[in-house]
Amino acid sequence: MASAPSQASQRRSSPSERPASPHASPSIARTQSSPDSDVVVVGASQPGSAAGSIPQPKTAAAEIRRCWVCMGDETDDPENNIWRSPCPCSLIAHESCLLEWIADKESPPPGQIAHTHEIKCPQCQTPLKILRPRDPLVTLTDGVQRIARSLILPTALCGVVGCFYSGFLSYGANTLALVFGTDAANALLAQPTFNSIHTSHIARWLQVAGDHGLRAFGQLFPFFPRVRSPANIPYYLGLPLIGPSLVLWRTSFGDIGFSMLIPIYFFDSENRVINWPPAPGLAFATLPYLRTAYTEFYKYTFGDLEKKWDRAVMRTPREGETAEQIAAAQAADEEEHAIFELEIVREVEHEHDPEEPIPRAQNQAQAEPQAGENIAANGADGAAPGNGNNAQGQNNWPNGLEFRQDVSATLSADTIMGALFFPAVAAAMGEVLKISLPARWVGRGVGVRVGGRGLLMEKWGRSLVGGCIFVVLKDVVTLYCKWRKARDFGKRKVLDFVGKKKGGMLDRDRGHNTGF
Amino acid sequence: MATSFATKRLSKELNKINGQLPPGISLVKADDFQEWQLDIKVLDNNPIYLNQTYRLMFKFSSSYPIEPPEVTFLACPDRPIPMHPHIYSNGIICLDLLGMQGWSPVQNVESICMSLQSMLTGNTKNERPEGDQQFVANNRRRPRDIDFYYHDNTV
Repeated sequence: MASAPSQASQRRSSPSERPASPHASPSIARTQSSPDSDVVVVGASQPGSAAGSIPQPKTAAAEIRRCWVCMGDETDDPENNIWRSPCPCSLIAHESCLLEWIADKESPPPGQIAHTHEIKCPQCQTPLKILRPRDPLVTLTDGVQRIARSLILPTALCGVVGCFYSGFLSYGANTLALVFGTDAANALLAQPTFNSIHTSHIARWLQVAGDHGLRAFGQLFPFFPRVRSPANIPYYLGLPLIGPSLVLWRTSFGDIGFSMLIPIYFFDSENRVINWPPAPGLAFATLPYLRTAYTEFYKYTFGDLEKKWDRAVMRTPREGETAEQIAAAQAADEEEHAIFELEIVREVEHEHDPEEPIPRAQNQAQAEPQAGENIAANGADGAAPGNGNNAQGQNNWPNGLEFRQDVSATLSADTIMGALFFPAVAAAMGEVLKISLPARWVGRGVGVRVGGRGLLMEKWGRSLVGGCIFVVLKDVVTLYCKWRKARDFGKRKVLDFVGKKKGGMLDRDRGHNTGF
Repeated sequence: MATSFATKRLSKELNKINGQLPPGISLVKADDFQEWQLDIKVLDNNPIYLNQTYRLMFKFSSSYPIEPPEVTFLACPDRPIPMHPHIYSNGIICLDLLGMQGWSPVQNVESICMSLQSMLTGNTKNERPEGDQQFVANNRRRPRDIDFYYHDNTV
């Protein structure tokens, strides 16, 4: 809650609050230092300036100077103090009082060096000129402190980004090793992606500059891994993208995005010759198409059956309800458990009756069964209970309404986990293939590669095929479970409790028994 | 030195207050230089504060006026805590003037009273701050320390 700073400043400048200081008093512009202090407040050059002050009746007291800090005037202890008028307005004060105030303003948190603030007159906001002895080392330290303070936020951001980057980099490298095998992955990473031998002087100079730049980057940003040579940069850019891509692929727009891979792959003229077995790049770029085809095939063949089985395990429709409505309501419930929830809170400025939100809530509750398809309706639905609470409860915000909108419910925690563990599962399936398939297909045993150059000869190929097989197997098992549950749904029974009952129930039970 | 500093300034202020006070402000108690009580009234006919008098308690530290005084509303039998979105029901006031940042020694007891009067006059919302119940139940800190937390938490 902003406690109305504008009001405060307004108040501060209201004339009635000004200390009764005589505006016409000649200010003394002495600049010699006081005996007990090194710091001196420099007086304003024009004495008796009445800028902005309200004309006050000139009484006898007006001739007496009064300190705005201690409110003491000249009559109190005339000889003891030096008077200062450090700004154009009518405020004047004892130098010792001003210095005490300045010291308080500048006082550092315990254990730190005091740094100089700009001190402003509380009435006219003119910066006070303060003469202080200058020391180059102190000035330098102050400057360094200021720079360090301004770097706190960037460093924190850098650290967070660096943590994610390094984590995903390790994940990418490990995934590569899992899918391709350690040796093949190392070979891939060691091979420079572009020719690092440059003949021209400029190119060589550029390369040296790049090396130095990278080294400087590594020293300046210790949160990021050190890149040893510019030739490795593509890996440092590409490897961390593996994890996010795997997660992204699980979302609905993943297929569209990744279908760009094949055109990109064929940009390079070296890649345009297709052999069997295909190069790893081509094989992986084909996956999005393969998946789209598989999904369509699955929907076409099992989609209706699956829907039927899903509905079979739901509660029996009540009167005036269809199975579709129950399914839609359940889908809406699922949406609320989304991991990313964007809340848009708006305050409605004009007055609402406190009763008003409740009929809204009821409307929304009635509309709920149909709300599944429509995200906006769902959002309003989420807001309705909140309003109800406000109206019944503390009545905290009678004038404000809260709207919540759930956005992006497509990612859930187990989806992300599944996506990130998928390469490991695929690699494990590849190993299973290697053990279970005939040696001639997978190149197992002594006479390696006797059977030509099949896809299953390479570890990455086995991982690829293994991953695909896993997806199909998983769908088969899921479908089987759904079918089983749908078939056995009507055969469930609730069993009676066998044995001793607890607590009050026990006594009543006994009573019954004796009664009989 | 420091004690006499505050005392000197407060005795000056007390002299002035005893002489003349703006309308709607009256001194109730100023027995020492640590704690004063004053009554304030809202002068216009704002329906929220009509015909009400509120009691203010000032607590001065030895470094007044370099440090701000601790100012709270005091609940007495015929002196309620005014309703205001910046005033908690235990009397703690959220006003930057009373915090370390907004305070300056130009302010004095009289000017604080007038600021609070105008803060009430300008208010149209008959409500407590957000989270009042929880704050009142849990707060053990001095008002001056809270102010900092308060600005910090709600910006």
